[in-house]
Amino acid sequence: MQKLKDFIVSPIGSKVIMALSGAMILLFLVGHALGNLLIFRGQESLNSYAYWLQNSPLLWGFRATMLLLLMLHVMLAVRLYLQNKKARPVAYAVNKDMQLTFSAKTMIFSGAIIFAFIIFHIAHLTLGWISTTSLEVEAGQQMIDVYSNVVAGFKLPEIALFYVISLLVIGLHLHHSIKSLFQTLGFHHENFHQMIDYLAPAVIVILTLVFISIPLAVLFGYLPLVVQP
Amino acid sequence: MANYRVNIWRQDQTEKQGRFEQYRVEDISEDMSFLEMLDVLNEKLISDDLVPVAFDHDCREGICGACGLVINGIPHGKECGTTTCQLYMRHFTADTEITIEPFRAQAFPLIKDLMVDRSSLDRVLQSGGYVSVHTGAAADANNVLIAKHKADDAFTAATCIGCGACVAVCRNASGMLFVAAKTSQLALLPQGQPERLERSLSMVKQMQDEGFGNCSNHYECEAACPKNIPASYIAQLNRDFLNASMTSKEYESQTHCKSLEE
Ligand code: HEM
Ligand code: FES
Repeated sequence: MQKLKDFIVSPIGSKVIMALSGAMILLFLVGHALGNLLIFRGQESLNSYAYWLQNSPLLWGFRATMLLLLMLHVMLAVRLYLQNKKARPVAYAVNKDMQLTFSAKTMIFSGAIIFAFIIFHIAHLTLGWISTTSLEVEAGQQMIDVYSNVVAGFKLPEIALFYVISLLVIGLHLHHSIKSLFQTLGFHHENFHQMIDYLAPAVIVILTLVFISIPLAVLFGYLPLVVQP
Repeated sequence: MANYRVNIWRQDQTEKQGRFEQYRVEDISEDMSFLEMLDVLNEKLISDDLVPVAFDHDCREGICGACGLVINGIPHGKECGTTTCQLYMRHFTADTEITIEPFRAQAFPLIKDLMVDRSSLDRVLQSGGYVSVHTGAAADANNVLIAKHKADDAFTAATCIGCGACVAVCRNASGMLFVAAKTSQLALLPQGQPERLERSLSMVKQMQDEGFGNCSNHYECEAACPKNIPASYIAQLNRDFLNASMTSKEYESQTHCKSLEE
């Protein structure tokens, strides 16, 4: 146990855990984005997909895992950030970046925005604290009308805008993350990096566009709010 | 011949706070090195009965790693692959301002003006320990076979002069490129294998204990390195560290011999 603790708090161990947790969250995001696309097939499709998810026996195991990964990622991020600040107590008067990218130097800030967004997003669409319309299903069971929640939410321009901005910030976070995670895990080979250099931007752009398409589609009236009989 | 206005960080060891002082240096030949320009300034300060600027230097031919100034925001200046002593005044436009700061890091306490104590790097190196070698009669040449490209890669790592520019340039004041170079120069050779994994564990631990920051994969270090050591050596260190964390001394605490109870 002591050895495991030493590993987690070591400079490289912390980063490895951040990279692995980040990578797993990224995989989840890909799945989440694909699932969300069902909204374009209509209310029925999205709601029955949501119903299926919510009644899955794996739901709570999955939620607990994601929460654990996120907490590990955030706690290590804050810990590393504080250590890194402490390592440079006197700032330079002149700062000049050579290869440092905007996304890389703003990781902690993009991370903080993402964290706030995740809390809001869960309160909004998972817990339904912001708007709920419910729809009856056959067995007399309540089925949350996810479609209407989403559409009603994004009809408000400020909510849609907040989502769009947060999703772009996720794209920014990923811009540094995807390259960085391979380096952290020890992959840095010319052949391999050429592949990442092409693949990473493609993944980020597609992922961000898919996510953003939903608030934008609602905002511009492509996804109507259907009133249930 | 050119003139410059130089802003230099002045701070005595006894002072808590330092400050910038501006000096005019005149009649600087373009063939002078950056340190020679500072020598000219110091001659003038001494003749004016002022305290000369303290800065580190030794070989003045780019091999010892003693020199190291942050020049206009970049350790060793903006020329690629040079040390401060090998940087020439022709790279600076006449009549401009040049700002010179010491290497800034928790692990590099300030001694005076532009001089910092980099012995934390020596302690990191020492923590790597010994290398097991054959003693006795000298072995025949080429007894141990090494692929040419491996020897070259190990040599690239071994060109590290331990100047600390990687630490100075890093936003996190991390020593990862230094540690990566020092572990890789042995890890890539057959002679470095016996203690390879333990070496990466102990050097990373010592780096952490000395108060260096962590690597955020910004790669400013490889850009500032006067020996152009690439950040891919850090990936090599990451691999070794990960491997060591999982396999080092894995059988040590696993003797299961227990006497049976009556
Ligand atoms: C959408 C969710 C997120 C994903 C997919 C994600 C993914 C990643 C990945 C893959 C890395 C690269 C790790 C490495 O360098 O090896 C990373 C780094 C980082 N993440 Fe996240 N992250 C997310 C949310 C957050 C949050 C909520 C924070 C909160 C503060 C955060 C803060 C950071 C920081 C500061 C780094 C850089 C650490 C360093 O290199 O020093 N991330 N992230
Ligand atoms: S004085 Fe030796 S490297 Fe510059």
